[in-house]
Amino acid sequence: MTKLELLEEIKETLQRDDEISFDMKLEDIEEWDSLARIAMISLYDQLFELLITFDKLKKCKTVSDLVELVSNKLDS
Amino acid sequence: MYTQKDIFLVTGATSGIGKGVVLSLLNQGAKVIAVGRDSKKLASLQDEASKKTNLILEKKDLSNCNGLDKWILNISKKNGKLKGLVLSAGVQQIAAISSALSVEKSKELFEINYFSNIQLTKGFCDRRANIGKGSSIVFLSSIASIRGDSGIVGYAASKGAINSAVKSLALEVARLGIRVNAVLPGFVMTEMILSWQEVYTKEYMEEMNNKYPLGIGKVEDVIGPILFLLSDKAKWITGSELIVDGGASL
Repeated sequence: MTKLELLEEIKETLQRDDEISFDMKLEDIEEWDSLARIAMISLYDQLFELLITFDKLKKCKTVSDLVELVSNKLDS
Repeated sequence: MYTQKDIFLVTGATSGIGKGVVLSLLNQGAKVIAVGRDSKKLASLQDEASKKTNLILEKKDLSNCNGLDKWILNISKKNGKLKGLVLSAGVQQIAAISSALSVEKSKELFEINYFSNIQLTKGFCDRRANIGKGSSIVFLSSIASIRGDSGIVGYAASKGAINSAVKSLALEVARLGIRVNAVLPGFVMTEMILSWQEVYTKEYMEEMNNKYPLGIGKVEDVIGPILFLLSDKAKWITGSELIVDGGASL
């Protein structure tokens, strides 16, 4: 999976019509709430069999930070 | 009461309670997406419909839950955001616990009565699929879920699962403005039950009638409460189990 494909998966997980970009701040994304965080944990578990802790997720400030969590599992 | 901007999706729409809900919503001016698996029955529903232009027919077999969330999202993208969802599709099975296939049959039953409905709910609760505040989901449960009877272990459990799911769902999606409730009808004379007449003998029906202080129900007795829960009149009701059984469970 490429970074761009993951970006699309994240957008889908956020149930968002508008596009998102890597540099967007999570706090500026209306859909980024506690349930969206839970959905992100499920997404990474499903895609990469990787369990991300809530604490790690809370430290993410931008979309790019979310992608960075799994950067070693992405195609370049 | 409604306009064609108020869009409802009803499963199990070609018979019994589901069909009654579709026809009533159309009469009230709403646009209805009626889901059924039988083309002939869908066509006959259209014949009976009052405002045919407000009725959209969708042929779909719900016995496999895979992809139903995306399916409902696509329907809303095509027709507009949904105000309500009525989950009336379901199957009833009579199987004693001692029967050879009781567990396998229960799994089939759960697939449609529980998992498919949950998958449809997942799709409906997508922010892109519903109107937000003012949206409502009504699950068709059964008093079998709160009152035991022999031969319906799997059926009763599948409806009990719905009752439990409704409470957590209601909490989870309240922030999105979506209400979630269950209606628990008693024994009503639907086509599904009529098709079981070999099992339901005259004596059985008489015995049943005695259990219902207000008599065995008709389909229309259940429709009013469903319409109420869908409407804004019920805007402060969520996570509830509305028992509609003529007093049978008292």
